[in-house]
Amino acid sequence: MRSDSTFGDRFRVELIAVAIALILGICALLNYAPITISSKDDVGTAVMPQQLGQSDVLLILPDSTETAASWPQMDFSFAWYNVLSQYIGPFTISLVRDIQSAASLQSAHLIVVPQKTAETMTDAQIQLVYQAVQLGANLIIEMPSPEWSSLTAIKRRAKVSTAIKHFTDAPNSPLQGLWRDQMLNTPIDSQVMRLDALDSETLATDALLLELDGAIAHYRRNAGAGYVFVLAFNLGQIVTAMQQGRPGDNFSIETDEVPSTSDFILSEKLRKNTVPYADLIKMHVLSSVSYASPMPMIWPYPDGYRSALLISHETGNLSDEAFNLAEYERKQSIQSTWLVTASRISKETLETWRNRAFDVGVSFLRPPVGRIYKKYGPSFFKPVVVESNIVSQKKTVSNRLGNPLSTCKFASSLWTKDYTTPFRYLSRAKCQIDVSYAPTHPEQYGYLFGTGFPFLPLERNGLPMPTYEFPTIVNDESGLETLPDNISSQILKESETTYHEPVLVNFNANTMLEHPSHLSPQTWMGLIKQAADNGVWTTTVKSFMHHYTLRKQARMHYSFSPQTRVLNVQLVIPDAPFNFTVAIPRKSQHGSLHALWLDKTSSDLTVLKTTGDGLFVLLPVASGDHLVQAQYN
Amino acid sequence: MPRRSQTVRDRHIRLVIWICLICACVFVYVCFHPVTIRNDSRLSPGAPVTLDATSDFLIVVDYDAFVQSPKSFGEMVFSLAWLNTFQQEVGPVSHIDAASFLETDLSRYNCIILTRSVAGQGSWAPKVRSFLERGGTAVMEMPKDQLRAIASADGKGGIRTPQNVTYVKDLGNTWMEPLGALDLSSMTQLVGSAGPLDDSQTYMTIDGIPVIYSKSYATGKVITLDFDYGMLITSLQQGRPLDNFTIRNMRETRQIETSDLAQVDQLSIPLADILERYLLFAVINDALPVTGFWPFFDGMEGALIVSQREGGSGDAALWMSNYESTFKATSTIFARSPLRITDEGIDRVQQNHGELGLEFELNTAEMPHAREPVGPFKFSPVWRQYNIDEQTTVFKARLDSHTPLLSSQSRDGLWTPHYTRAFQMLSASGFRADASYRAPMDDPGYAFATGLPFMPIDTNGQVFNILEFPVLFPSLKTNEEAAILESLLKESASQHHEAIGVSFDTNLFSLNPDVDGFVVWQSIYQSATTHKHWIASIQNFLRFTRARINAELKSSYSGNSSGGHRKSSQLVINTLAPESGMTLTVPRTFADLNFVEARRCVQRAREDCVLTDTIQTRTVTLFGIERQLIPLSKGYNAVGVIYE
Repeated sequence: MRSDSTFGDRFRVELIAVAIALILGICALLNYAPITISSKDDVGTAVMPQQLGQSDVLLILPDSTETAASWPQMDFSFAWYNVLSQYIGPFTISLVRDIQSAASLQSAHLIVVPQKTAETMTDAQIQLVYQAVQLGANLIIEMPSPEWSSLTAIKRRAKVSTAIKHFTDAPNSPLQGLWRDQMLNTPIDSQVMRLDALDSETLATDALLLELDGAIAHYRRNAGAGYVFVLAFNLGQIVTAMQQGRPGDNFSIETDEVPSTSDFILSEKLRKNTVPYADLIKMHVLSSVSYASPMPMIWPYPDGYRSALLISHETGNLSDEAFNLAEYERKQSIQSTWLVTASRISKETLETWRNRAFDVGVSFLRPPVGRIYKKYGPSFFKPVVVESNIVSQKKTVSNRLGNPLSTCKFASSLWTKDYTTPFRYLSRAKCQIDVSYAPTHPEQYGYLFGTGFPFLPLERNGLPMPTYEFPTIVNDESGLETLPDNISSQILKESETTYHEPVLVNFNANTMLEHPSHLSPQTWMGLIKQAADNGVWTTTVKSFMHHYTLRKQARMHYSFSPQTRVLNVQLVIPDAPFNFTVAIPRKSQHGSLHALWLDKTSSDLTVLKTTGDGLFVLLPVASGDHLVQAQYN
Repeated sequence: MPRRSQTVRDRHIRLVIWICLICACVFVYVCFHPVTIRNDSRLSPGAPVTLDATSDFLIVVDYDAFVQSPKSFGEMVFSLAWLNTFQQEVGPVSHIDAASFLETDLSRYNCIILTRSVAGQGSWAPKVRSFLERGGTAVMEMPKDQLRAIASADGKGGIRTPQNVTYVKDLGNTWMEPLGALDLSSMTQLVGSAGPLDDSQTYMTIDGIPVIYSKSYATGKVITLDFDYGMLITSLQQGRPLDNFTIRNMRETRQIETSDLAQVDQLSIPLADILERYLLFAVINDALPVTGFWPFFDGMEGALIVSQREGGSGDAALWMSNYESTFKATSTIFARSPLRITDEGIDRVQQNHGELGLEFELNTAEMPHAREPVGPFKFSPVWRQYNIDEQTTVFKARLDSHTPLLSSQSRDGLWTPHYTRAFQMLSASGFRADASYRAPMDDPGYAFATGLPFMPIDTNGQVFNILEFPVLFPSLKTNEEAAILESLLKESASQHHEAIGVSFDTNLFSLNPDVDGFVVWQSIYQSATTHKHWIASIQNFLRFTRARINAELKSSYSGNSSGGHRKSSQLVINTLAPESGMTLTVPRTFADLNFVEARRCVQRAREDCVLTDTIQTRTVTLFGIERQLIPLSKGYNAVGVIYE
């Protein structure tokens, strides 16, 4: 050894050993705490929905859209798209610019003109509507301007108020009893025209349908052979505020923490609510038309069912064992919707349950609930991880499933402070259905969003996002212990007998890990049994939506002759693995339903199911062309 | 620098580098595989007990005959096992040491039990004869010399190793067959005689030798047990270790479990209780009407003793208790130390009238939870494991002064390699109940031949002030187990009348949401209710059992009297019931007379009793023996029972 050799030369072996130890240490450290690369979520856009089916119900929509500066300034015309989808099924949509001649309105028996549409239609177009009504069409018009006075008898521009209001009476509403009383309790957030009286005439005794703070809110007027139904409030706004939630005027949700979907419900009274208020007001408005002139609809449930139980489960932190719940459901001969956390459930399990007709969706993990990372590195050494955004999470589950998936949810129903941003994420991820709207606090339950039906949420520009929001009615994620006894059972029972709502319930597979209570499994099993005992349609979110969208693709043409009191309905029902259900009005001002024929064959009215309010009789019809005739006496 | 000195210095540096590297590697390794320091718990051996109860029965033992350090199981003295029999089946029983026998006024008792430890007390023969002449009943276990001469067979065959029970008078085949199949060779000893005793009534034979028989003496009766009854009962209930008191591992695992002590294969029948009840309600009841307190609250058919394992999940473990509170059932939650349940959770357990017990870890536990790092850091190469004493102290610190810590359970049913060492630890830590004895996980049932709690006996022959509650179903969750439990409950309701210990895992349905497990769990309560079983925590059952033992019960039988053409007799019972829900049990038939009715007495002057209102009673059957249940009100009760 030379005395002038360097330290490195002399301790080469030791230094190599130290270096190896250091490298191993660093590698272990990196493996334990890898370098994290975060990723952002991409956004999609709202689009004009496609014309699917066809019927004599015509919704006229504005030609253009404009991004609103504040929530009250939004165009809620497309809320009518939701209303008609939920209530009637197939309908025709048309833009204002398409109303050029009488032929445009020739086949319409009900014309719906939302507020923004009413404002943008020209005098000539109004005249065309006038002619159509004179010939027998019915018209629903929302907050009309004086230009519509020939149809509405409102010649002066009425004051518009946004002060808090209440429905005070519904003197001639077709809804009676409980339905009518509950409708009057509907929380309202809408502009309202102050109508104390009509300019040119007095209202007929049976024409006033609804009062708001003692003023006229909804009335009916004869116009030639047809009727005009005038709404002095913005039904679209009321329905949207309730269904989609009401953010601050600047579209932001005011909370200190990351908001959840129940943080922007319209009213405190909706937090613990067993009444679908949004659907009651829709029912009132459309049943008023149907009472004046019988109007059929395609019922939202197949095979004559009167309600539906939809069960969803999130797998949360569990792996394949979460599907033990599905095993129980399989034994009960039902299917449910599974919202899977990406990467946790094996391909084999997903394929197994997909093949058993269970609906597999995705539960998105986003901060602060959690994050999902994709690890990068050779073998077991993974020094770099990349955060999965929701598109990537959906893709992961979809790849494992081997099929595209349609149902999505944000874990723990977490939202963003911006009202519509999560819908843009969902749109970009091509989620067709989202079930994030749900009770998220221990004491919440029921129709927090005023409905159990799915709807298309509106973007700031008024266009609908291409993702159906399907509200969850009971959610055990925060535990069920503080809920009133048997509340879930009561909701399902009232759904079958009274309100006919789809009841989507969520039972997290890992609730028993985080908020264990016997009430979760007991309620879940109790609902399954109750549904089976009472003939409730128990299905998956995907199957429900399959029927729901196919229903919109039907063709339905109808005509009612006041002279013969016969309602003729021509149906073209698309191919489907189930029967559709046509709802025929039982009562109208022309009398009660006396006889019913399906394809010239008489149907026994005593055996057909009716709706809880007694307004409709439910007639199952198979795929194909049909003629339904109803005689009123 | 000279080359040599540099070489030396380099060597030193090299050495330091390598030592540092090795130290770093060792440090990292031991942090992931820490060294655990274990220290032993305090021990408190079994101690003498004195019971001066107001009772019809007196058990006599000779503590001087007890071997303090026996060399083998066979050398142990099992006389105190008699306490278990009487406390389980009757309730109050008096117990004295041989030293005070001669001063004791035997006229206070209807029946004396001279255990094997006093078998050689020949000088007592005159006093015993005098007692018999006054109409008393003496039960003698393997008597010798003068005591044997009173009314027992000659015993000339000496001590023998028995094989099987061959005959039991009037015992149904359902119970006789499993009893006969029991291999007694290591569980008791018997005394052979040259021939049968004249004019005696044989009740039981082992290998054809009469081992339970009775013979009248003057107006009294002598019942001789020519086998070590205490040893047999102890072997069945507490288990049989090897002769050197170690326990053989029956499962080829590294650690001993309590189930390794179990001696019986027939798990559907509580064999020890057959023996106890047969002895009391068939054999002794032929000599005098045996009265006692029914072991179950409100005269229910049996009890379901429910316990749950918290498993470190804290408040999340309380959901089962919350469910039970909806129908006023209670249970014991065995939690780990340090306790993870919050103060709110502890309050909730109290609101639910439940109980918190300690799931203790023995020093032999692998991957212990009850431990702390040595030094200031959580990431430490050295950890210290808490012994049972420390686990108890840490656990108790979380409870308020009004909340006792009475019950314990060993984690995973593990036990010390020594027969009674764990009991000695639990006794030193002040526990009053334990539920570590459990049936094998895959073979639930009466592995310890009883469902009723018993006082374990230490190797020195003395008892621990602990009641051991056997767990028949250590982790009940499958339909098959539920079916077995259903059949045990059914049998318990009709014949066995047992306390059936079940244990649930509170993680049921969480990590693995097994719906069947949940359904089974809920169905258990339904099943227990259907079969009229009291669903109780260990603490509640313990309190009721203690109340029975501390109660007062004296009976006097008036003998036959003729009323017209019919014979009739009266049994007058005076009791002090310290708890509500207590029930008397009296024979349905005695001396060829049948139970007619029970009435309240309102006067005790000169021990006369004026019968007033009739008490609603009901009949129960214990292994084919009919008994009548008479409900009592809390406090003093005088009851007259009429037989015709």
